[in-house]
Amino acid sequence: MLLSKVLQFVITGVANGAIYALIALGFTLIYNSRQIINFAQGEFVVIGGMAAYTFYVTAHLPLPVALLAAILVVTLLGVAFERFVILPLKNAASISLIIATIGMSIFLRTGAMLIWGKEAMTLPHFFGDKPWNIMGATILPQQIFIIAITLVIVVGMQLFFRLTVTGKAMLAASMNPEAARLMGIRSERMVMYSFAFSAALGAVAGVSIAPLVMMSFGSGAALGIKGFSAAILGGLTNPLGAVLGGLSLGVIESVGAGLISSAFKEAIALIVLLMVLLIKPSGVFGKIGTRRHAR
Amino acid sequence: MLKVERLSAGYGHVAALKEVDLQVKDGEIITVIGANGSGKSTLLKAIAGSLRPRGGCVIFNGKDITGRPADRVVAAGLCLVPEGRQLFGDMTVLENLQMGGYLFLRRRRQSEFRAKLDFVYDLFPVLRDRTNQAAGTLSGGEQQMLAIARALMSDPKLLLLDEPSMGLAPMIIRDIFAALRRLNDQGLTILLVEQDANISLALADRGYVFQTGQNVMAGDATDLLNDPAVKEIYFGKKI
Amino acid sequence: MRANRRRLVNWLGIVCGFGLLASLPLFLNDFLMTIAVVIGINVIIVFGLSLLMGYAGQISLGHAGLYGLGAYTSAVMSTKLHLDPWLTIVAGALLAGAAAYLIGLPALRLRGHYLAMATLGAGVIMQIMFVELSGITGGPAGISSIPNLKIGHLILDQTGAYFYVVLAAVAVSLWLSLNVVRSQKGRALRAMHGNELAAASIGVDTARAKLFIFTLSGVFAGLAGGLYAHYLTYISPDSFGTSLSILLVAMVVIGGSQSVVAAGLGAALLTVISEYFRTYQDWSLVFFGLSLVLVMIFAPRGLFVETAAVAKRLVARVVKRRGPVES
Repeated sequence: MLLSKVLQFVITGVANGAIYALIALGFTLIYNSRQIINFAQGEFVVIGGMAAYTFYVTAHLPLPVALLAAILVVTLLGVAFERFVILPLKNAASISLIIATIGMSIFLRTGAMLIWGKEAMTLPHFFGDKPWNIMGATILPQQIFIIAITLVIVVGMQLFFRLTVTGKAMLAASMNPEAARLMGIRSERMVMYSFAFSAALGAVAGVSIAPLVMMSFGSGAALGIKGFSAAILGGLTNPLGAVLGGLSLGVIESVGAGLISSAFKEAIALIVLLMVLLIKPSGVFGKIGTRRHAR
Repeated sequence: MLKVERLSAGYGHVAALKEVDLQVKDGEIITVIGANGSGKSTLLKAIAGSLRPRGGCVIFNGKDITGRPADRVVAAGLCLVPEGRQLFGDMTVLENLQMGGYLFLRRRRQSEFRAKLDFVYDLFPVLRDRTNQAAGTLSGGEQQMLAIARALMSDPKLLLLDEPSMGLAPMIIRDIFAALRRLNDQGLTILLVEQDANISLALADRGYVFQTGQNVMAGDATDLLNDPAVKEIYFGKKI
Repeated sequence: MRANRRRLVNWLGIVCGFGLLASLPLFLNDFLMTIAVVIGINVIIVFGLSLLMGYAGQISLGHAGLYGLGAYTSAVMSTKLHLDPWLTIVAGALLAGAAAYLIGLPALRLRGHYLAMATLGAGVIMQIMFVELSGITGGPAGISSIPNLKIGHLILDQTGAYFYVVLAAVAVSLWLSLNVVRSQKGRALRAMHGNELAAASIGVDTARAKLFIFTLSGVFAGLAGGLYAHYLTYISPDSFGTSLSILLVAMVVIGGSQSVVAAGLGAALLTVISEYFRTYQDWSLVFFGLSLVLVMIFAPRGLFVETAAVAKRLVARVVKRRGPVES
């Protein structure tokens, strides 16, 4: 039935898109606070998944503990990245930062390969792998979890940035770090928090998608590009846009793979990326939900 | 309250401030005037911690705060209203004031924050009317009031202002300076850097005149106001 | 007078350098000569990239694609159309230049990170095309039996002989690069790199200049690709991926983007390192990533440029100490 087929595309697309949204949010957070693109973001995702595997399979920790431990480890990695690479390059040219984050991504990726080898890993499904049936389309509990956790995170982030003092201080520090400092806000600290947050988001994406995908040390590059395409689609500075961008990309990919060919799937994100960059670099969803006013 | 001794600072190869001495006593209004590029803004930035001094020292209430980064200077009781206001344009008036009171809010001192908020709303009632409006949509005068209010939220003992009259209509300037006078009557010490010598000397107790990074004249405000040499400095003639 | 003397010294240095290089085949073994050929090929690409990055202030993470385009064009034209390899190499260079022009037209409107991403994407798409257009390109298996270069009856299949071809190409590219640097365009570009607004206000057509350099860097990459194809006589899509693009940028950045020669030295250094560590490739990659970070933090203008600066300062200090005594 055509409806169930379309529904299937949409469901798969939204579930994948939620992952892209999480990765895209990571890019957006860092770009807002530091105006750089973190080429190592994909690596945070992969290391999250693989660390969870180690904690669960090798260390025999219960699954929830393993997941939290993995997220914690990657968050610390993000903090170290900010302190040892980004902070020293505070006043550097953007090319230097591009090269440095690329170097970091190579370092992390190859490091992951040395630690975990070249095999692919996977985690067990968090809530069992019995598919649910919705009007002829199937959805796995893991996919439901992914969509749910993304929703929780997105809402949580909005609440955090719009309602809490630290959240607003982070926003202020990214809008105008010097002015924020004049209010007693430690702008450098806020940048560190953004990186920690962004790494954590990547790790959540990584552990969530690990049961569905065979993840290996090199998976980070493709995920990074997809997440970045989603972020650009949403206008690199707009978190809500990043989420919409992720969901759209997921659906476009899913529909494209289903209707045209699955080999095409990998190229879709790239094509979307190039089209956005060349036609409307400020993103398709750039202005959604923002309070942009003329100064 | 504030003692600046042989303070030097600059940007890259440019020495914008050369061994400047300055004093601000409790309860005074001091103004620093001078032409563009005379180092006035640099002075405030070096005191407030936005710029690292290259020499000399800054002593505030007996404590040496030379070179302290801006976020720690605020905690000491000194707050700068920067040049061009530097508001968080996408945030509301209230949110800007919350950022101003960050040090209180961070420590959960809600009642003190509320007290300060009421205080600044009484001082500038128009801000209360616009409390949920984005700061970027305010008029120039309102933005300057918000910038001052925001600085007051951290409960400073010394308020630094960098060219508050810039781009504002004379009537608005008068209102703002009247507010500054009221604040001073209530005990706030003020160091004001201004392009417009007339209005600032009319407000201040004492003044300093800067030229090319150096302090070339100092004295009571009324004396300076009537001194023809001040005009000469403004138009570029060296003393 | 000083400037002229310095120019003379520079030219002498370059001539001596090339003389020395030309004598290499006489006393280096085959393995080392192979490395020398690969260095030469990389140096040509890197000259173009350093003009793009150091002078025009842009970045490209997709140059391996242009390199591959030159290689594939020359390979296809010489194997399928049986054209003379000398011609096909030139054709490859021109086609790569044209591709660079077409990519640059929209892409160079972007800045910094956006441009990096756009060029990355362009490079990946080119590699995908090398794989997917298998009718022309031979798909994942690539193209083999690519004909050697010939001079009359002399077949240039020996590494030593090929080295001279590459050396000549390097000399030509260096001459071209230095000309661009010294020309009106080059000076205008330098001005632009410092401050685009200021340059534009004095009448420099920044968009045109950027596009010109981008196209030129494409020509260099295509030329190198052609030389590569007729040396190895076999090419496959694997050789032209993003990791090579990144390595090329690293060569420029580690050597020194502000100086064409420094970038060339960077190419030599990294090529040698990557050849020697081929067996320990995994560990060497870890160090590669780390060294990129460290160089950016501690030697942002490039190893050779920074060492030269340090050396200059040391010399100045020594000279000062030996100078006249103050009265």
